[in-house]
Amino acid sequence: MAITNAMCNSFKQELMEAKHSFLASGGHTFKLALFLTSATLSASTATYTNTGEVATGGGYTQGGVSLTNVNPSIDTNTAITDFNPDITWATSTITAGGALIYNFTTAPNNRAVAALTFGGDKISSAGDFTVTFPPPAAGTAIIRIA
Amino acid sequence: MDGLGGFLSAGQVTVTTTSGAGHPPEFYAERLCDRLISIAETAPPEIRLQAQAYRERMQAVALDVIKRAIVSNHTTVINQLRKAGMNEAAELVFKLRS
Repeated sequence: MAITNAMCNSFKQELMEAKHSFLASGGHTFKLALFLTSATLSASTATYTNTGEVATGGGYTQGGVSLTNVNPSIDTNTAITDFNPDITWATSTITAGGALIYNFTTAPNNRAVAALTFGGDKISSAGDFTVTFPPPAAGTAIIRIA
Repeated sequence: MDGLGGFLSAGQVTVTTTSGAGHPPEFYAERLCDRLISIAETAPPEIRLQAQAYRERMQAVALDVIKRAIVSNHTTVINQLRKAGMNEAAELVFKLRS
């Protein structure tokens, strides 16, 4: 049981089946959900479920929050997409070790996109829990195809 | 990766948490500059230095503006609290300004 940073294998296939759209206008709704360090998230994760997810309470609601799409673009021969703004659970008490980005729109719903590890437990206590997306550039963007 | 190949990859998110308070203005000034200014790893050293110096200047400007915005917002909150007769709470917010 572990969380590893990975693009989900099902997502790779579904990209070729045109099942995901990251367009800012008219694109799909993507969500980010928080998971406990004990959860299992990896390239093999195909669908969001609440198994191992942070429980509702302390400012967090299971299912996570919707992300705001940024239109995909090309940066130095690499296709990139981004989500902006970053996500903050304000005045929260949360312990999480990773996250899953998933497509809330595509039928069937909740198809996994990417598993993200935080490298250990991250804890907010009556404070802010902020997930910052990497700079939208060829070598760093949250989702990129080179 | 060869000339015809490609790869699909996920970037690394950063998680920042606080206890008993929110993020300081410095956090947001840095985030703002991260969003607005990126420096290519492949840029020549002299360009990188120039870009980094520009980024630092912009971060200082952003930090100043963010701090002013916070103080301005506190002024609004203090006045609203005073109008509502909550002078003790208003005093508490006033102390946050310094």
